[in-house]
Amino acid sequence: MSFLDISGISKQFGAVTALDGVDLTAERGSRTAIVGPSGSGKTTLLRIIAGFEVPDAGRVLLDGEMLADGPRSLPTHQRGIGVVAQDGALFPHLSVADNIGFGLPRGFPGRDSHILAMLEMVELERSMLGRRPDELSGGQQQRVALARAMATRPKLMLLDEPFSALDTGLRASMRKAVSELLQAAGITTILITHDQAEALSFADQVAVMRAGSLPQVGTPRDIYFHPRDRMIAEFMGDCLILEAEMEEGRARCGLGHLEIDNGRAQGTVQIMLRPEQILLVPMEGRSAPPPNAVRAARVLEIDFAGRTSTVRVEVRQGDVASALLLRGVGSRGLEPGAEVGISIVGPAHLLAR
Amino acid sequence: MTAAGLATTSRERARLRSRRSAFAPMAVVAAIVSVGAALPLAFVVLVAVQTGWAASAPLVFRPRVAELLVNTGLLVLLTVPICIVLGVTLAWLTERSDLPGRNVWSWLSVAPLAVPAFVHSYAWISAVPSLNGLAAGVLISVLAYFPFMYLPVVAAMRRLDPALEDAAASLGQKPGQVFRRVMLPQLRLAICGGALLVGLHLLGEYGLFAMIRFDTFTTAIIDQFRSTFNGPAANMLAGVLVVCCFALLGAETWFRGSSRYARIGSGAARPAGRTCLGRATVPCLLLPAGLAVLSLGVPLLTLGKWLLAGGVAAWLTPELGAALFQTALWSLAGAALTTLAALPMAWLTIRAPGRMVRFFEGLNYVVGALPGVVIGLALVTITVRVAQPIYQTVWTLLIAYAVMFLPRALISLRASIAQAPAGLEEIAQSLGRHPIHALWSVTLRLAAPGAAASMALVALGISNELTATQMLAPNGTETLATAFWSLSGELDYASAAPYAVLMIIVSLPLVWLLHAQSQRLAGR
Repeated sequence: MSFLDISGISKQFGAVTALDGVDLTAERGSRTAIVGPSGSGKTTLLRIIAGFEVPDAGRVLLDGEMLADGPRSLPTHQRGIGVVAQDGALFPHLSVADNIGFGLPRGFPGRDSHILAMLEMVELERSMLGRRPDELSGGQQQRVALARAMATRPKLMLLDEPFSALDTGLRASMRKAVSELLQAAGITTILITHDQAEALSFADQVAVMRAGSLPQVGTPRDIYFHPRDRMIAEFMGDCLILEAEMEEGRARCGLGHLEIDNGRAQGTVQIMLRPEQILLVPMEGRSAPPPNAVRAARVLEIDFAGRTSTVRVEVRQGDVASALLLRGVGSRGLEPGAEVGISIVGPAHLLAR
Repeated sequence: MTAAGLATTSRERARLRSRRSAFAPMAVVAAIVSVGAALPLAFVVLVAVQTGWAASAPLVFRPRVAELLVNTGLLVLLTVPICIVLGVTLAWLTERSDLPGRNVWSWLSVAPLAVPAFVHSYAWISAVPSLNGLAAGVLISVLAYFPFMYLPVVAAMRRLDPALEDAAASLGQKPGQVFRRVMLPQLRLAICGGALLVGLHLLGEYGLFAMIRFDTFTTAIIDQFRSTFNGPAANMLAGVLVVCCFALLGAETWFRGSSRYARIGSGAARPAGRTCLGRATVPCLLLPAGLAVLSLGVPLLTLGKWLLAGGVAAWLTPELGAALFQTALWSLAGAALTTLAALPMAWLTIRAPGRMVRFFEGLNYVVGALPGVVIGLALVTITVRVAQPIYQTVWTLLIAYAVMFLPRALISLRASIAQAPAGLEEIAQSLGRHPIHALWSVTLRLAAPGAAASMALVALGISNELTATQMLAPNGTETLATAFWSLSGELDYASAAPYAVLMIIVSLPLVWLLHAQSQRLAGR
């Protein structure tokens, strides 16, 4: 049996169904990211796990202990689950030290040294202890919030978009630091986010949330390269989606005959390629595309955005020319009007209809 | 999952609760407080029903009631418009013109609130003994209550976006037209609020009008109460007074309308420019100066005269110290009780707003608008009939204070609880605090400044409350207000003066508080 075991969780707010029969498990010490667009119900799920909300139906078990069984629910303060909120939610009337020590029982042995250890764990200076929350930067506030949540040694840590208020550079470094910290402490963690890159880099299990249910749960690589359907494929990153006909185990599409990861499919299918699977190779005076290219094409337009660009190409297949929009591909050495060969790396992924 | 994994032990089941636990006890306490606060209202209705139409009609439809109705109506209809004109003019002069000494005038326009209304009356009647009737009533009411109009109007004027006036001027409107067509409509809510406050005070005030022998409903009810104690006549008059209060509340709602005058657009508004008064400066100075002389100069001069006449001896009576102690004790106890009683309702209106909560909250405001005399009468009747043990004890009096001042406490508490996000309470729970404990250590700790402000406002209100205190205070106990009242009733003005001075000193923080509040609203 898994460490965290959520089954059949449903929750309605008036006429709105926020969660509709959600199942999810997480192993001890693992990191799970729940990713989905805003309004998909991921925060409601987190609030039910934390005990802030009570589910209409379904069970939540943590380490074999029943936390919620339908509307009967263990109060939050008896759960031992840490929460780090989006804005940190530090108590404005308490110093950093008192914030970190808030959850420690009265007369906790070695209270001060424990608080200091927590502060050092999140890499803040000792001089911060006496500060007030309004004297801290956003990143520092999040570190204090994490230290506060970890001070009570929770069985489970819930992170509710804790990085989204930080600026881009800080976000990545905080994410890495928090991930390593929680892993070192062996605390099972659930991260709620709407940022797919954050989910993929943080977690070892990603659950995609959509309209109150989890259509796919898997490893980051699995979710990225093998999304179940078009919506998940597009949500998890740039992709090229093509209509294709199955012929002898290969998919015939605008880019020629492509290998796909499920050769047993039949009839008309939808396939997906990630940008990094698509290489645009300049022809450099050659009349024929390079041998590993599947198609020749002409660059119509380049929307340059640095490392990756959006490139519109015209693919010719016999006499028929069709335009394709390639998002997130490299455009080094390309100019509008240039003739290129398109190479495909690895098999395309078959999407469920 | 295995069947064994699903099975929960009975001990585990016992720990699971079906609802979050902080809401239920708070809702129960809030409901009890609201029902308690609504008792005076229920009392009026019950008495009317019990007396029956046949018995009550002759008590209500008689020349005396018509006379009181005319008196009270004329008083309101004359005083409120004069207060509006004075309040708006003063606000404009201190806020939007280059009047010399604007800050001083702004303080002096709030300061008359430190003088209790019946002390205003005492000052005037002892200075001009022939004062009486409607004209005197209007004069003294205006001087005592115009700050209630000035405060909201000046606060609203500070928040006006001058860009709107600039736009109107650029569309070819003359300054007078800009004021009438752009500024005045935006001040409407503030003017309505101020007018309601002045009107309710006029309906509920006893001391001011009794001193100059001008009969209103409130003075007539007290007279009846004195002569027949608990007769149906007083109760019926109270019923008519309650109807008048509701009429005033309804009129305010109707005048206020449903339009909103919120500023559209982002960013902070630029501070407004000031109109140069030029040659009009001197005549314009006459208004605030004249008002200050009449509303502050007359009371202070008269008091000074009586203080001199009474000399040191007037201060050395043991009764003065006893009254001061009694006032302080009851003010603090009443303030603590009121704030405590308002807390659950304030918390619910922020954390669990719903139709039920709104209804109970509204009920508290309506009852708070009732005159002290109605609340006093209701509590006398109720305690005599069903709660004899607390009749004429301090408990009845404290309950009356709580009912009267609940709205003040609610407003301050609600604002500060709103500033403590619900997320903090939840985080405290996730760190192992029991919901009630989390509420206590986080939300209430953060709302402490609001609770302090609420206690201060209530305590100041109680410290010079006269009407209900007179009706309900245990025999033989005197507060500053009641002692002052009985001494000046015996025309012993010299002995009364020290009591008045102490009441004014006690009320000074109120002036500071209200002035600061009107300034802070501007900062937003």
